[in-house]
Amino acid sequence: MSVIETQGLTKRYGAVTAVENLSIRIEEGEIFGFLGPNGAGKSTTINMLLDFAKPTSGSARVFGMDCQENGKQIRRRIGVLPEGYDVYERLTGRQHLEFVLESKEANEDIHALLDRVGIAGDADRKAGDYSKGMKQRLVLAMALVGDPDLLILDEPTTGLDPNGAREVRRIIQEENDRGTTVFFSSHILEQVEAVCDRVGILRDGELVADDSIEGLRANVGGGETLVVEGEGFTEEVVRNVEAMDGVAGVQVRGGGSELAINVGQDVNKSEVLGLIEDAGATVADFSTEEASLEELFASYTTDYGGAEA
Amino acid sequence: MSWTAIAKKDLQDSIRSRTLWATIGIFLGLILLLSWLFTDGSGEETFIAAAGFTFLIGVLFFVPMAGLLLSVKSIIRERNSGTINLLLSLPHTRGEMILGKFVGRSIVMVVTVLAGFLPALLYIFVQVNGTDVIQLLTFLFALSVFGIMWIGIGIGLSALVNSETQATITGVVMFAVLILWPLIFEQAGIDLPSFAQRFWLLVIFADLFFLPGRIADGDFTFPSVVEFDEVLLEEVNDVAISVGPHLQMWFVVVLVAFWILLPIGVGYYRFSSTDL
Repeated sequence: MSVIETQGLTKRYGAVTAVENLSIRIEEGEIFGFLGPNGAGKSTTINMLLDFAKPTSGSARVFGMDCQENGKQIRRRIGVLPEGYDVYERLTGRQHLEFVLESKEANEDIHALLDRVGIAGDADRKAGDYSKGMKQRLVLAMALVGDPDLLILDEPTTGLDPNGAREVRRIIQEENDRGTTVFFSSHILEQVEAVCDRVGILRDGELVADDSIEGLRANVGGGETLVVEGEGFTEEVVRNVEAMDGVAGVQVRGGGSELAINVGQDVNKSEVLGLIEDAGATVADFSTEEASLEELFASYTTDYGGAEA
Repeated sequence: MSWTAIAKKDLQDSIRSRTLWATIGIFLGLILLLSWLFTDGSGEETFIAAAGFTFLIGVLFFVPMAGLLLSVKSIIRERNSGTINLLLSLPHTRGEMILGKFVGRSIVMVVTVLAGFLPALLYIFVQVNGTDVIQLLTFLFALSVFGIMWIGIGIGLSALVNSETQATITGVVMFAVLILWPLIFEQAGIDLPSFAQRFWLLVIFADLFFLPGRIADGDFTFPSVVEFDEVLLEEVNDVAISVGPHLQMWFVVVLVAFWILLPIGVGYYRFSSTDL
């Protein structure tokens, strides 16, 4: 049975479509990275899973139960780090966890929970005085209460320094090792790359990719960039190279002294270089780079690049 | 149970609120001052006469204001700030959230009433001869239930509105309308039937105040205060007092339930189907 399953899930706000016809399926034990730029519809999707927002059409199910009909039963078994939350300013970190423990009818050591996220020393301070990162850690600790079967984390690394982000990934990995399914949204591919088994990329409310990171790389023009140094990279040169089979995109960089070419794996590089010279440019040197994650992400979420490959 | 966790959390949160303590402090001072001004220390007044004027002001302004102040932003503020995202990520339904808030704020309301009025009541108790403890407790009981009705109205509004500004405005409007509507009808020359007058919150307060005494006397069919003209007339003519159940004093219990359940019900209906 799938842990999360949406079918044709759609959410419209007036004329604006936030999520369109989204069908995803997340299996037990997976770590699923839900990616997309800000405003792509990630949080709207999560809000429908949590019954914060009602779908315009389509369905969302968690543990096989309908998110609108059985919200309470579902939320008994999940831990959530929602977006756009705020903590209760006047309550301490400890009181926050007491509230969650009571709500989930769980019995756990508050100190151990806070220690796990690194804020045990601040348990008795008012959460309103916490920094953004500490609040994020507190809410993560709240999500871990009751050993949930599913963690839904909306941008969990926001507000954290690289060290904090790494700790969060470690906790996600630990929970997953204990059998917890993780649904993890982010607008930064690097954040999910290290831990995710599979990623879905959302763009303008639509799912444009659903694959492993390796699979995504393989899909985007072979995932390699041929960098050619030299001079005379005129528009005509660019046009000729772009017209070649297996070339997904061409960019002039370094003030005209560099040509970056997105190429497929089966492209003969010397043929490309030959074509450049035939068109009147001079090639001084060349090298290849693996497409960075940033470029990979950009190719799916912007019009530049070869996502349609 | 779900709502108990929310009520407890809400209490912990309210207790740390400076606004709450400031409200209690200001009204405590005000009511003590009024009590002192309106008792001449001769010891010849009755408790009701001495307490009456002082507490009329309290009943007209302090309790409704405090009740609305404590409740009208309770839900919309959680929506605005985003704390609701934490609360409703937990296994609570929106109905349980409203119930938990209502119970939590009602407890705060009762504490506020006791803290605000008890010292003044004790002062009058000492100053005025012939005050009995039952009357004092009845007064506190009526004030508390009256306060809880305003909490219900405030929570209902809070679940209904879309912003804190709307909450403030509708709160002020509701305060004025609920206190003044029978006077508006009267001024307009429209004669309200007795039963309609019973929905006036001030009449409900008066019925609540007299009810425990009637029940203690074993008189369950005694009419509501809206029928007091009739009662006097019938006493003069020495005939038995008889009105329908909806005009009997005990029926105030139903009216209290009405004023709590109607606003909360309307608020819940809207809140349960709205996107956060």
